[in-house]
Amino acid sequence: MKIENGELILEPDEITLRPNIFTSAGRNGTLHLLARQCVDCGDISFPPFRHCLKCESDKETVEKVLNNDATLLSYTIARQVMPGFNPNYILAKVRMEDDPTLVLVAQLTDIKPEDVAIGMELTMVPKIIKQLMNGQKVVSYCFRPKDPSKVSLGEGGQSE
Amino acid sequence: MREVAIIGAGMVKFGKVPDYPAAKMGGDAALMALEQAGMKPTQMQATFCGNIGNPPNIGQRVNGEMGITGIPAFNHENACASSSAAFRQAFLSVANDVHDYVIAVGVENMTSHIASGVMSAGPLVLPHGANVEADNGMLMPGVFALLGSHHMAEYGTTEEQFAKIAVKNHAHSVHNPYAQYQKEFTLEEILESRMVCDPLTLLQCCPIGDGAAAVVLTTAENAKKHTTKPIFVAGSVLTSGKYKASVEGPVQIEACARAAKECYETAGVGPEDIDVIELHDCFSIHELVAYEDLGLCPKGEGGRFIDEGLSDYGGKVVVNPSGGLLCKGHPIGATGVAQLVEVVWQLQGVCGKRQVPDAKVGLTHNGGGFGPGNEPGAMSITIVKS
Repeated sequence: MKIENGELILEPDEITLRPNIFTSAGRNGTLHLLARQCVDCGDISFPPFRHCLKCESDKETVEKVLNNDATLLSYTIARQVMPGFNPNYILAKVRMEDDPTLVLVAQLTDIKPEDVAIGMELTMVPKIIKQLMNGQKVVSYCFRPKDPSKVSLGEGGQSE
Repeated sequence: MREVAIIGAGMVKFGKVPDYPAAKMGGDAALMALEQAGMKPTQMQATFCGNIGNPPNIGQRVNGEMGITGIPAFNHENACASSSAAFRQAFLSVANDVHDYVIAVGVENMTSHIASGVMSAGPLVLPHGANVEADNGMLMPGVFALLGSHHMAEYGTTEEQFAKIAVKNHAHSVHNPYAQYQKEFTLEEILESRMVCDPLTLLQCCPIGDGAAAVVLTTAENAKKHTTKPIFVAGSVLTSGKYKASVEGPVQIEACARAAKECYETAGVGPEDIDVIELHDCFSIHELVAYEDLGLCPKGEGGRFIDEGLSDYGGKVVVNPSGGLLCKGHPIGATGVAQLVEVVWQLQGVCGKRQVPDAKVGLTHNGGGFGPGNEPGAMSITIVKS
């Protein structure tokens, strides 16, 4: 897996967690999460919903590129895990900057557990999070500290 | 609507019994409930059954084990609140004059269907059918660990306060012969047991197990003919989590607060009137947060509530005299009705050493499935009175 000009390039044995969750969207050559937004109330959903569950509008939602920034709401260390995951990953709830009501569950990566602090600023980074029974590796959205001094490459994520 | 009463309650001892089929367990629990009601299976007009992973037509299979056929069976799946959904439909059927005598049953043989791969662990995440969060590494203990971590940061709640809930419920279980585990633990033993998802240690997580429970319902008027201790259903609410309802404001499970408020209003009681609660303590953290959402104490004071012993014998209300899901066990489809069985027995005054003195009003709290924003799939609150 690598990112070139904002495009996610996968190896033959890699897949993304869901189809079409990432987009380059022509934004500074960086990779972003692709959400949907309600045309009536502005609510942002990710994973995306076809209809807004907040205002229950009958209009279909439209694509919305997230800016990737988030703050840490809570976290735990998953010591006992499902098949395919390496134990001891940091599981987190993060609040997305684009919509404070948008809370994602994702793994923290590139951070030492002792550096994790609720309220810290994070940014999205794609990472391999697990390996399926058929050998395929799953690339998903993870979050790493926005502050470069807190980034510790290779720590707190899944081995690749 | 007609007033509804529970006239019999029964359950099998929870435990790991893969060779005890779900339908047989359900039939045994039903026969015990019918015996307590002094009724015969053939007097039942419909069966309402909660279950998740056992064979189809589970209610009909339970009927078969009771020795009856040909009556309608309504089978309900609502994750961990499956048999609360079955009970509610049984209640509505009697209240609305559809049937006069019905039985609500909850059954689950988890050990057999986990072994066969029918059920995998991992949370139900709403509203997506496809379980994105689980695929991303979310686990059922993770759901509540993240809730607890948030609660600690917001209100200063401590790991010890969560662990004290497990100390209390394990102590209660010692006097419940129907509990899967009946062993007392010290606070140190709870805290030092294996870490599962920080701050949740193993002894703060409910076990996998098998079991069944049943209650017989009829009208309040008919009830007098069968028992001197009918237990009246004063309020019954089943709702669902609301999208993003719990992601702003206090650390809460909004659907629980909403369902409890509606149920108190229907029953004409307040949290201060409740003597005994069977609460969905799938993980210790859930019980502490639910103290607040059920209105037993102000938001953020769940830690103080357990510290001061207010949820134990001699406190304001006894929570989980059965040992709760943590120790009595949590065979998913059986849990909702099993909670009612304990509360009914408490109000009948037949609980021996674990009897809550002078219990007159009881409440059950049962959630089913949880999403990333603390929104439950199903949330059921029931209030019963003697």
